Amino acid sequence: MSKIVFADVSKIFVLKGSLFRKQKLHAVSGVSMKIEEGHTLAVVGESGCGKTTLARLLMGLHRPDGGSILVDGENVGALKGKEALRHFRSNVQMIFQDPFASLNPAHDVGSILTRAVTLHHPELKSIQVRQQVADLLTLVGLTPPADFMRKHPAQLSGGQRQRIGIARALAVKPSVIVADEPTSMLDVSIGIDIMNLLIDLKQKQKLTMMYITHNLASARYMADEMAVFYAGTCVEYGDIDEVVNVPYHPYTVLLLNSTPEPFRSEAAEIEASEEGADLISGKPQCMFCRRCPAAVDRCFSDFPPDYTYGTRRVRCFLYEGREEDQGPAVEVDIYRRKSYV
Amino acid sequence: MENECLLEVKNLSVEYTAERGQLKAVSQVNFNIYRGEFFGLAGESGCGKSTIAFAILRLLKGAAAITGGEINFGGKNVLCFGNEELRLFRWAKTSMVLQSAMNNLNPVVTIGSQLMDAITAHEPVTKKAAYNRARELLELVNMDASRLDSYPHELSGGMRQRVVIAMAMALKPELIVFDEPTTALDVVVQYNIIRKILELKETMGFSILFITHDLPLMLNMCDRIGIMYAGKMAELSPVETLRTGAMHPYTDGLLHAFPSLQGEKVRLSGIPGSVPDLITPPEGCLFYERCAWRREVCAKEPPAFSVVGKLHWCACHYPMMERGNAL
Repeated sequence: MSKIVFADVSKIFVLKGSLFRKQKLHAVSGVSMKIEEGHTLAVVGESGCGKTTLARLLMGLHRPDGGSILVDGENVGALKGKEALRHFRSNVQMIFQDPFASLNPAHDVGSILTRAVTLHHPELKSIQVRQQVADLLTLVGLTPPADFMRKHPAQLSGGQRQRIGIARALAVKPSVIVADEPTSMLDVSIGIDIMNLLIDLKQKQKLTMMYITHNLASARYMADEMAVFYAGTCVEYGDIDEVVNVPYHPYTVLLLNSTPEPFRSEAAEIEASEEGADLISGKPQCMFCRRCPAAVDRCFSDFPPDYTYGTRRVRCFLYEGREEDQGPAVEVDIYRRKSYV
Repeated sequence: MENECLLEVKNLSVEYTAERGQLKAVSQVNFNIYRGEFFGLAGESGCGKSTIAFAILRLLKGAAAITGGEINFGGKNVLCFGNEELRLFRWAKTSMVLQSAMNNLNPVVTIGSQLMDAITAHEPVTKKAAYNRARELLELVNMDASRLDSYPHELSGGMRQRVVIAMAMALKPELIVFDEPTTALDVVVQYNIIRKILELKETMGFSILFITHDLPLMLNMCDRIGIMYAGKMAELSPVETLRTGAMHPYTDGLLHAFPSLQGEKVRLSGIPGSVPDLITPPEGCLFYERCAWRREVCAKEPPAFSVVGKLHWCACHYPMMERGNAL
């Protein structure tokens, strides 16, 4: 059984509108995917594509409006009561994007971590708690731990603060970590060490991870599988090397070719529309249809199903009836012909 | 690349007054930008790259002060300009595009009148002529002229950034400074905007000073790159040289901190440690604490910024090429 299962998950937010006509925003629609135990899934996409909503759904911070999310067979959306949620969160923890905002500036590192440990293990004696806090700091590379326990977040660099964020997440010995852009606020020379730390911890502590990022290169560095999101839908899912090297969905092709890669043999010349997706109407259609140079009439009136090729799944009508050995139906070429709006 | 020098930054130093003393944000920085050149300035937060951009346009205020050096534009020292000269220099000769387009535009004035403002402030043209110019400018950045009547909030982030770029070109400047123009944008939009900038540079012939922390992006488009560390220029070279023959350990570290998208999957390492306190900087090389190649002399003497190859400067006692022999 897979560690984490998303089955046809949807989330709708109600926007402010008139009293009788509330607008609905379809933040996540029909997402199905799995994360195997000990694997890292990278969720990539641009701003507003539903990455963070997905993370919050997995954390039980939002309840899905459709479908279900199972962690170790337990339905996250059906958790009721404080106690059940607390128990769930001792298993699933989150690392946040902004290490400057996610730590309480009034507390020292020792009490930030002590609180996380005692909240889930009230039975521990204070000497045991102290030992655990010291172990956590050592685990994330902040040594000697005694020095760091006395410091306040303001006395730490961005990288060190993110390590505290990681230590706090690990304090309750979770088996699942959700990391939401954990390095995007850090300089690269610092961020890469945070990524290395997460990779090492994942192996050492046998964690299953959902890694959310807009940076494809860092996704590939971190993850085993990748899910490409566009406007709340998962347009392509598969082994990360396969997806990065031979993308199937027109959006994945666009995303990969827009990403700067200094050592790429030849830079593609592409022209792409920047038109936004329609998240409001809820009309059945491919969310990417308005930007897709290969779109046909059907893409505007029907929601494409998942087409499966081995472990890869792609949501695009171009793959209807296409055999596995025919390979991808899209090349960079499609972006060369159409001028953008 | 033509060889006529447009901008010469010579021994530029900038200090900020902080509570604890003077913070040396930029010290003794030297570089030139040639006509028609795409020059990139890269480095991590706090390395002084934006301070340099603000110094060139004489926009530093308050706690910041230029404490030494020259900024020569077309042979004249910008630092000696009087008010009127400065007014003629800013925007007409050199303009600037900042990071967050949403904060650059006035939210209660239409795009059209903001573009026209920039034109009429510098040139004695009729309203009609200014309007037509504004139309042309929008078309240059692939936006429909009907957008002249839009307010900034009606446009997407990418479109607003296009408007700001159009505004920067309004008076046909010789140099445009881009300070992280695409950092807040999605990659597809970033790609389109960068391509547009390159295209406009070819047709209009301006020079570009491009500032970013995104080294992969810069390696794809610049002619020459300067790498800054802790307020100093660490290395300066043509892009091709930098890709394969970086000489400064910091440059080398940076280049190896970006994971590759499609290349071989290898474990990378960051650069341990952090930037020194620039109020009380250490005596020797500022990168000493973090350098894997440091030796005794590095702690005592700051390295000189010297020639190490063709159009290639580096501030290191043991640049990469000599290291093999030295160790």
